[in-house]
Amino acid sequence: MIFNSFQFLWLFPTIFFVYYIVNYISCKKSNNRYSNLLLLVISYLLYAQWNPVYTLILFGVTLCTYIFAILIEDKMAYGKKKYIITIAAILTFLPLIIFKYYNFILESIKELFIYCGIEIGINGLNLAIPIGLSFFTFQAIGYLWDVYYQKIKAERSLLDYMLFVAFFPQILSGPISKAQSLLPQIKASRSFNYEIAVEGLKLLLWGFFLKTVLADRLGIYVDTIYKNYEYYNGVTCFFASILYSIQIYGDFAGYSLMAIGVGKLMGFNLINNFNRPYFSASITEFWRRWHISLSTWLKDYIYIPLGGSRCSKLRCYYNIFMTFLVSGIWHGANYTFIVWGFIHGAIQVIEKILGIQQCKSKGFIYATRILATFIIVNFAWIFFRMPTIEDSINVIRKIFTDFNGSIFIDVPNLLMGALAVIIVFIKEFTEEFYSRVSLLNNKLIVVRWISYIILLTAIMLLGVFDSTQFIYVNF
Amino acid sequence: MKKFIIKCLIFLMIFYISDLCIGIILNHLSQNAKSGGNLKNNNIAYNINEKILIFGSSRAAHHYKPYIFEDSLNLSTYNCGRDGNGIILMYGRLKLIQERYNPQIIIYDVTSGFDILSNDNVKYLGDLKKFYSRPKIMEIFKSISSKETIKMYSNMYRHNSTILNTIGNYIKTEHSNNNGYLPMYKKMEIEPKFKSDNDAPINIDNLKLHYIEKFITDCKDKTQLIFVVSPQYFQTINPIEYNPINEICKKHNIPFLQYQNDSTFNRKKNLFSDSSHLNDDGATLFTKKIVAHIKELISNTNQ
Repeated sequence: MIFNSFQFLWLFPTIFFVYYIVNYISCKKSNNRYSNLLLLVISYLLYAQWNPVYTLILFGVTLCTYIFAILIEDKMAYGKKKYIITIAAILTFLPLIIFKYYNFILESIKELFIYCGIEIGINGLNLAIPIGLSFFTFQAIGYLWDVYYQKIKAERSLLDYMLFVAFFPQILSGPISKAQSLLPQIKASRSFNYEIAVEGLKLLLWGFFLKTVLADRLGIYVDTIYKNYEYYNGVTCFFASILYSIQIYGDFAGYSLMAIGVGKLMGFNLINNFNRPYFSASITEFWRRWHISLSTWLKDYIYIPLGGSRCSKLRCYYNIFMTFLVSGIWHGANYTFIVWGFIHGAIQVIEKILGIQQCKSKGFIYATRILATFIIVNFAWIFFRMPTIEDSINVIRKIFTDFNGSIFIDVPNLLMGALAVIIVFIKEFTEEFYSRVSLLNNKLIVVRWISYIILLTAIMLLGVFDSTQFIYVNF
Repeated sequence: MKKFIIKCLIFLMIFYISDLCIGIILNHLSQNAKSGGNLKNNNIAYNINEKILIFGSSRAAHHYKPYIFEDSLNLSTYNCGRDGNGIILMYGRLKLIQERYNPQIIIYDVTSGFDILSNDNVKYLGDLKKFYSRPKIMEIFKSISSKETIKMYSNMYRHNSTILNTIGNYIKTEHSNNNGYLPMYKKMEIEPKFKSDNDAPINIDNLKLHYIEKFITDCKDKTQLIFVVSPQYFQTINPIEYNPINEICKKHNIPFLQYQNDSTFNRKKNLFSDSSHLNDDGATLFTKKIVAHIKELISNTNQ
């Protein structure tokens, strides 16, 4: 169930009411098993909408990590635990490798052999990637490693564990929850809380605005330019790259906020995934504010096991670099994502060498650092967005060399997008620097409700509700 | 929970009232447009009574010059072409026009992407949203998407993504009198990439073809129809995608003139604004060509 879909508008209220009716009955019997079972059934049914067969993959990853976590806990000798975790990790990652990376690995090997003059006649697989596979695999493997490192006890209730992995608000696009955070909430009895539910609705509303008004509106322009970048000049390409940076933030942060909002409405507190990342003064800080659940996962399960910063400087730089290489690979099966990860890793190593991330600055220097960080992130996003490295380099080359002609402007879409950007910038700027000023959380109910009405009106008038809007351009 | 539900209901009521009020304001702005797409849309629905009408996508809007028809055939002409649209909108426009009169001739410029091939038909409903209350228009919505009919309960949704155009069209006054024709003056400079569509699968949209047939049957004995494929920069190597229209035209004995491989126009950069659209010079040349053909058709019919 996609949150900004028509189905969500009628299905989620139904789920909400049925859940709280069952929850009320469960609480009377001091047993939340039925409400958890209901959530589990709903989560699996919603997942099955995409492709019923892929629920088997979801169940397989869940069952594998559930069983192996118990085996790891029961095997006290360190040596056997190591073998068990290795086998468990391979089995858990296997669906991800097959569905997401098999074709990429095969093509890379083929190209290498062709370079050596040998042709391999193995065909790729024509399989659609199970939706959310990267997210629930990482969530499950994170739990497994927490049990291995004895941070938590293995979960004995299969029902609770299945719900932890498949919980519907977060399964498609995160946030990636930690077992220590979500499992206790699943086990605890939950009753309706008015303040948390209202908070959830606010997050849902703001997330919807970010997704449909900001991200999808700017996306129309970005797609037009990037699809035919050869026909546009460097200024237009640069402008599109800036808008893409804003688009991807609106898209991802918006969806995360909707997931967190839905979680709150169901009585769950999910991890906050974004913290105004474009106000970062360094790339290191950027990764403390962008996709927080993923960067936490990478830090806990890649960076720290490699040695973290408790090792020689060279080893530490290597650890940072490898962590971001993994991040790049996780995002997609393409060399462009690897290059993107490489850029972020390399810049962070440079920052560590120069001690930049520890520097505190104010005023003009602070503003300059924020701008410089944004520009670096902006150029890295070009690799993230374009289909090939060649296209990415071509776009960057154009930005620095092609100054012919004027910038392409699509007035209606850009005006609507600009309005959204202004609203988002004002909100995030005041939250960052003047946190006492707030419209959505204002003390006065009139101010709050007028803000809600304005946001909802903006969504109805400016939001993109389907994939059919486009800029009509030909070459 | 009771407090939460009550407050939600109160909020929804307040939102419903604001939806109503904003919808009334935007409807007023739209119906009293003085320029742009809204003015053209209103003209087509309420005002025009020209003898010859041009229907189709942007290729219709940019390729046919009404004054050349008027000068040569002595018949008033209006260009109803609309960027990014095809038979779904054009059928709706036909029904709105036929509520008032039946034109003598309709020239329908066919574009395969908007009139034949399968894609999301919801995008073609934009200009019909303000006429949703008319039964024939409501039928079109129902045939395409039941979800859209539910969304149409919201007055604001009817103006989704068009508010800036609506305000602009209301404030600005149009002075040109091209009778719906939209001239493009730019000449092509860059040689565009030729994308061969030989291997692309052709997915025919049966709903679009259904509306093409309805268009023809609703014009039968009232309006002379002529289907045209106007020139494009590249030759079409594989014209198979126009076969369904060809068959429908043969079945109903409607002339189908195809100019997409006309060497007068193919690869002539000075006549094109981009690979799909003639510029004003190209439109002049093409309109004169089509007028000559139509003269011949009319004289054959009269004989």
